Amino acid sequence: MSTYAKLFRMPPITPRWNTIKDNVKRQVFAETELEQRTLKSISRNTLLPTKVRMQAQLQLSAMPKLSKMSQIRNRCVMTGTGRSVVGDGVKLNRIQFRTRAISGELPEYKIGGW
Amino acid sequence: MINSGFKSLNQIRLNSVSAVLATPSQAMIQKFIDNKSLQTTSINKLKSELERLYPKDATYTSSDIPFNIKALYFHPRINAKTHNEKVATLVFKSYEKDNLHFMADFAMRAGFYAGCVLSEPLKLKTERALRTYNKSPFVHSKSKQNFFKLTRKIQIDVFDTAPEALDLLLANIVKYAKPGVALEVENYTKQTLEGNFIEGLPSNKYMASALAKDPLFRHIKPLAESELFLQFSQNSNIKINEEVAEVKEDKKPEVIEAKKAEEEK
Repeated sequence: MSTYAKLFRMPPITPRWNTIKDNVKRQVFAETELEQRTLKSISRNTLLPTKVRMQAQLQLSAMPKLSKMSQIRNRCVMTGTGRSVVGDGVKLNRIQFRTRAISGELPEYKIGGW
Repeated sequence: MINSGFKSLNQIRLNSVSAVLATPSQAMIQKFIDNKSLQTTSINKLKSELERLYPKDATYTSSDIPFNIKALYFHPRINAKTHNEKVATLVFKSYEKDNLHFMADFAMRAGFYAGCVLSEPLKLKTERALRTYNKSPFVHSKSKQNFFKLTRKIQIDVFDTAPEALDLLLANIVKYAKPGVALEVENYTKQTLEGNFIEGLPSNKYMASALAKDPLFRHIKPLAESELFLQFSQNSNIKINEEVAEVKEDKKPEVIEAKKAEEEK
């Protein structure tokens, strides 16, 4: 089964509080992902009786906020910053991305002038 | 003073190396010469063969070239369609042109000899990803830099081929793959609503025989046709479906009559 939240690789710098917090959230979600998915599918299924659906929804809401997918934020792999992270396969901050693209470590990206 | 000091150091090193190295025996020298002669002869043979196969001013009219190499100068051949049933689509993707066009040409040529029926290669739209970022921190945000990424794509459709032939093609492509080229494959099969195979279609011809030989399928087939499976299915799903069907049948004529009444007015 493919997981939404892959384990966050800790950046090679000295760990900060934000990176540690994000790493903990990902690990907790990966453990409780199967429970959350099953409860969500039961609560959304209209063919099932309402009592069962309500019970599943209550169990889902009783779980801690820390274990939810919405609490995870993508971070830069090298620096650990949460702002201006380049998506689409590149897990880097804009400054790290720019230095690598100019030096040629990301060969798919080229400098454009217009 | 400094220069003279360096010279003396170098001289000492050289002397020490020469003293440590043993003088080569006559057998060692003979072995070295034999190896060298063998290498030169093998290289000369290869060179002569390469010059024969790939002459410098070779054209498709020259008689020395073998036929399989002469075919490279022509457009790749295509097998004729028989059923016009689409089996698979191959999509090559890459950030650069050269290897992409080579792989598409290779797939066409390998597919012909594997027995596949391929369409002509179709160039799809290039995906563009444009990004602009500040050259410097937030304060100097007027100076920016642009980056772009282009992904070229070529699509090849496969018709009327057995799955064995398609596997052979894909194995050939994977074996002689070029760097920086991705391959995406979508495979289709046609079946009846009951799950049976259609007779005559090339994609189903080998699949039906393979399933009949499969021991797991032979084990499951009587279970699926037994009464226990029917009871299980009735308890779970069919009740709900029956209710839905009844509701639909009741409502249908009412709706139709109401529409007819509106149209008449």
